[in-house]
Amino acid sequence: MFDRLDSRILRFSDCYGQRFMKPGTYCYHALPATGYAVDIKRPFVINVGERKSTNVMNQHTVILRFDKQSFQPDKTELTIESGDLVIWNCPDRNAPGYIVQGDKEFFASVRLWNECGFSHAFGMPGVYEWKDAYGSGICGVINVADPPRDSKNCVDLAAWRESLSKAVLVTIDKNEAQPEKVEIVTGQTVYFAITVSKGISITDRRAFYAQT
Amino acid sequence: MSLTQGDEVFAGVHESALNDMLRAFFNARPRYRVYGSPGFVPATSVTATQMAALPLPGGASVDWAIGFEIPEIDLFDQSKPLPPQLSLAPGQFSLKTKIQLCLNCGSRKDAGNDQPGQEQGRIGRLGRALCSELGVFAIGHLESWHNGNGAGEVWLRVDQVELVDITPDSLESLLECLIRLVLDTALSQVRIPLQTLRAGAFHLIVTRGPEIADDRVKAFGNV
Amino acid sequence: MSEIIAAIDETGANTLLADAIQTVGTLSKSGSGNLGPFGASYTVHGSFTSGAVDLIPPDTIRIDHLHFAWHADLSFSIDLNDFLPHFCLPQVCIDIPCVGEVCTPEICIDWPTIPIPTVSFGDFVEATADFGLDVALTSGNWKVQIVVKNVSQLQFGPGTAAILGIIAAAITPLLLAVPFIGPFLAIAVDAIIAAIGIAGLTGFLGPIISPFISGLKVPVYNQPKHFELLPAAGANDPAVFIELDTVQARIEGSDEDELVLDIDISA
Repeated sequence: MFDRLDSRILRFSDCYGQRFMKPGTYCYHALPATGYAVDIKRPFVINVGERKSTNVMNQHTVILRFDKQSFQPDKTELTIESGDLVIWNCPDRNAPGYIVQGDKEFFASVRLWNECGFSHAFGMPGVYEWKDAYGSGICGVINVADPPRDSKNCVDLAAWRESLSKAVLVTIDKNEAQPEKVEIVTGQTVYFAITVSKGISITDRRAFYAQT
Repeated sequence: MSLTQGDEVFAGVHESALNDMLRAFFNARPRYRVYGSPGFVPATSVTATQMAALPLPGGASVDWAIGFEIPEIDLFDQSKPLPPQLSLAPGQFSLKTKIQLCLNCGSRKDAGNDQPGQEQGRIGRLGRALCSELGVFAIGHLESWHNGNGAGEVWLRVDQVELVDITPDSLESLLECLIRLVLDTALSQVRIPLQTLRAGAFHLIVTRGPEIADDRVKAFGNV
Repeated sequence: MSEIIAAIDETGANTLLADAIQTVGTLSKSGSGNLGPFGASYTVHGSFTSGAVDLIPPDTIRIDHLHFAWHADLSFSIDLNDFLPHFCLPQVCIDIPCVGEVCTPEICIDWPTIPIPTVSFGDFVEATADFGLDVALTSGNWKVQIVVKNVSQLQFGPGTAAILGIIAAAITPLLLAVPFIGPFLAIAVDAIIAAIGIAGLTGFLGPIISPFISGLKVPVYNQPKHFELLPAAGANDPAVFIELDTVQARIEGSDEDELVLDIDISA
């Protein structure tokens, strides 16, 4: 058994992040995967104003709830400054795979363009060879190992829990992923930060033919 | 004293049950107690068995018939009266019945008066049957066979017959012999399987018996 | 005075009942019950082997070490939330050069309910059972059966204790399919098995298996009332029948204890 690693279809241990670099009103929807082809409504709004903060970026987190066959954000309308990052996550294990689909091409979890991110917390050990399902050739490997066990076959749970707070960053700029190889333990998170790309996905080769 | 004694299985059939079985047999298959030549029994059927006519000198023959009532059996110990000439010993049974003997006593046609094609010497058509009925007492023993699979049969053998008050004695002896032979051979055909004799109860591989004792046919053996 | 008497002593009864119990064949039952804290569906089937027969006048047949070899297929569900600690992936923050710190939210895991489709195992139980004699004319047949009157406590075989290990081995691969459970797997399996426990297992199996034993009926005699003494032997020799008017059964004690059938007939 292996984890489902596919940025095209988000699940409970995934996050999608998007920076909004220009002021404007950006409408979006959170839909079950493939829903973008069915539902053209974009009922939720990100209002992006001029940047007044002195730092480069503030983060805003939107938690999605799955109820009555639809995804509802905890904030249906969010006002941010240009350059801010919005992170979406639906922590419901029983929710179907989903997408965040905006009304602009860059604003879509299905295809990661510029100034965006995707994170995945790995729940099962294994070797995850990922690549871009859209054919750019960008790829990498994530080795997920079970935490070490003692002579009684017990895991040091305290040490393991502490390790879960430490994530690994993979930066994708144009056609390159750095680092290409990552070593983590079960439960840890890898954050893929995409600076510039032609619209890619982070997809496990085993899930390569999953529909978007 | 247990029923099985030293063996595993016992089966005991009381004389009243044996009489029921004989009654059932002869009611279903009466031909085993009615025999006759073609004049009396045109063909063997459920009710009668055809036998050959009695040959006579000169190629003639005479029709005859013999039949007996369903016999009543008394197994040792004796509980039914017997004529003084007979006594029931351990291991024996007694039998009481009536036997009917018939002869077609018609007159023989003369040779010259025979019609063309008519069987020469045939004693007339049946129409002058002479019959006599006799009360019969008999003594006999059981015979049987059995194997290691539990199969087997039991039947009655007649050893001695007594007719009452036939004279002269030589005629009585002659008839007793004839009737003994008839009864013995007829009853020897009535073979009851050991398994049905005990109404299908248990499985019995005979090691002792079947024997007659205490008004019963008894068999002992193992499962 | 019975017209036909058939008797069998204890030695013969041992053989008779050993053969008769074999004819009972394989029995099956399906249903649901509580396996420790879990509701479980089951199919159980098994077969009997006779033990030592003791004939006890006037009407009891005791079989000691009556042996029932059984096999069970169980399916049940485990709500892992009942066994695993509440678990959350902590907030994870990562510094992105030239951009700043990005943090994922805390993600709390709701453990799933795992269906355990089929766990198969088997063993045997033994008991001492007292049987009574049941005689009935049913659908034209005289049937004599021995039927259970009471049963001693079931003694489970030594393999029963190993069943918990079989359950553990069956659920482990299913649990492995649950994301993030790896470090908790041993804890989860131990907790689940402890929750069931031997008491839970025998408490589950006992009420399922007991009815097989308490409901046991062993045929001893089965013949049609209209009894064929001789089969037909041609057109002129029809079958010969007698009537079995009454059938009775008893245990007779003298110098030997015997099972006795008394049968009265008529032509």
